[in-house]
Amino acid sequence: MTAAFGASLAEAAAVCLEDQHHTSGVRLPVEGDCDVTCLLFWDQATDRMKRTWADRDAATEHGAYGLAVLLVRDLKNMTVGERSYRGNGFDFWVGATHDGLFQRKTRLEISGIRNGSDGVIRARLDEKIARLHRYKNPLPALIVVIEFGKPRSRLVNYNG
Amino acid sequence: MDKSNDLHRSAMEFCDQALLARQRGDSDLSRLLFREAFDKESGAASLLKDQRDLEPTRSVLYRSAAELAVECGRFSEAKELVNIALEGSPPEEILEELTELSERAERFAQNSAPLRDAHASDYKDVERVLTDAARQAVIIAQEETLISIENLRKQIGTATDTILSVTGVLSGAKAAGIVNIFPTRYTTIAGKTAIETMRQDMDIERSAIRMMGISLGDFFLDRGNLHADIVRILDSSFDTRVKIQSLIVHPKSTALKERARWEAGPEYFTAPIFYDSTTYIETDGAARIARRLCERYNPAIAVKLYKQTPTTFLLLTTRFAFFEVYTYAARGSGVPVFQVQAGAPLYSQLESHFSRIWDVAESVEGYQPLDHGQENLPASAQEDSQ
Repeated sequence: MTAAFGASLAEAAAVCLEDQHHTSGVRLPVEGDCDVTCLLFWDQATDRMKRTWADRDAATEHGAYGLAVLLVRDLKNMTVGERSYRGNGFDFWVGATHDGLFQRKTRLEISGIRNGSDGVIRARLDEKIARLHRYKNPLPALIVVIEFGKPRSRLVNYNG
Repeated sequence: MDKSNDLHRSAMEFCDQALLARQRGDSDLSRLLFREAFDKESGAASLLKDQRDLEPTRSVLYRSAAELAVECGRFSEAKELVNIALEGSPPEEILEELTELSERAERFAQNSAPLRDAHASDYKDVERVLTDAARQAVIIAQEETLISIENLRKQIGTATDTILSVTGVLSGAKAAGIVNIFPTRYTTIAGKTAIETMRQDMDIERSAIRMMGISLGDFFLDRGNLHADIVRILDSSFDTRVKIQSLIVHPKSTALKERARWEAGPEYFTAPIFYDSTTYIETDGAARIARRLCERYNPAIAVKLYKQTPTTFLLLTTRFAFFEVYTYAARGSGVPVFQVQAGAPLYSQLESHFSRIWDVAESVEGYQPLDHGQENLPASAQEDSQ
């Protein structure tokens, strides 16, 4: 991931968090495979950033990418090794890089919600798991759901 | 594999930039960058075409390249890439995604062609309207350009004529030492009339003012335009030391009767009617006032009466000569007044003209206003008696 693209993900996350009236230092509970609370710090979003991320869905999706990548790194000690293009965005793959592009990588399934209840978060997570359940030999996956309203998150490791 | 890795990572970097450009609203740049990304990614995938056991890398790369093909609107290539990916053994979920992608590409391909065909006539209408509008705009632009050029040509022609004519006037005037030309004595040029210019020049004169005319009514008659100025100059002459010499046509001269004939009418040439002419009345009045001024301001002013035909109004200072040619066309000043720089040959000639007349003229102090005992004498006799 280029520095410029990583920075743009951080900006999207900042715009989403401030849109929900959060300020730098807000607590982000992470539930699922772990039960921790992270503190989020960011530089205040500028007017330019807000204009750039005026598309609410795009900002939510990319903001979730940004936070998910950090959560996986800090909580699972895994970094995004590869990406592949997939309709207006990316699939992220985490894991060691020496095994070849997508070999033995874990697919990062990310979902962003600008403002939703626990029910919405659970439904989004269940939807991801249900899809993977359909496969006999699903690829290893880490499912991350980010909700900016509270904010809160779910992180689930899926290995079939 | 390393080559494929490099191409893939390069493709992803182009994707980063393309998405950022799209986010900024720069869709043209975004399209270009996606095209680059597609080329790189399809290149990376093609290197693994025969490594069918390298899964999920092979199928993920082909799927990524096919997604970029769709992004670039290259739907048939997207389907081809999917087909190649399917020749391997993609993981179940990637297989499902490839199938969905192929269907999506097919759908886009089918939708885009009918959409294009359905609106073909609309496009033609738009094209025709645009073409007509463009053609009309070109015609209007051409017409406006031609009009502008024609106007410009006329303006240049007029300006050139003016410059050429003015150049001729200026060249001649410069050669003669003429620094100003007033259409008449009372016409304003460059904000001032000849009278005002003369007044200004007399005001700053500290040596000699010489003037000659017919009656010099502007200077000596009480309602004359410069009478108050003359009196003021004389009042201060003790300090300024300025000397005034004036030449007025002898009121009882044949020359003045001739003026009366052309100004007032033939019958005014002969006495006693001549004495009723404005020509005589004004000149006589001017002579008598001049005589009084001589008595009062002696030696600051000297006035003489001359009998030669008046040909020129003349005002001489040490800096300029102002002159105006007299004609018999009518009474009044309808001819240009020329202002000549001192030192010019013309100035010297005018100065000589004044001196020669001055030398033969009679002092106004000997002038006897109308002698009623002589008013029935023939004009020639009266003139001789003066």
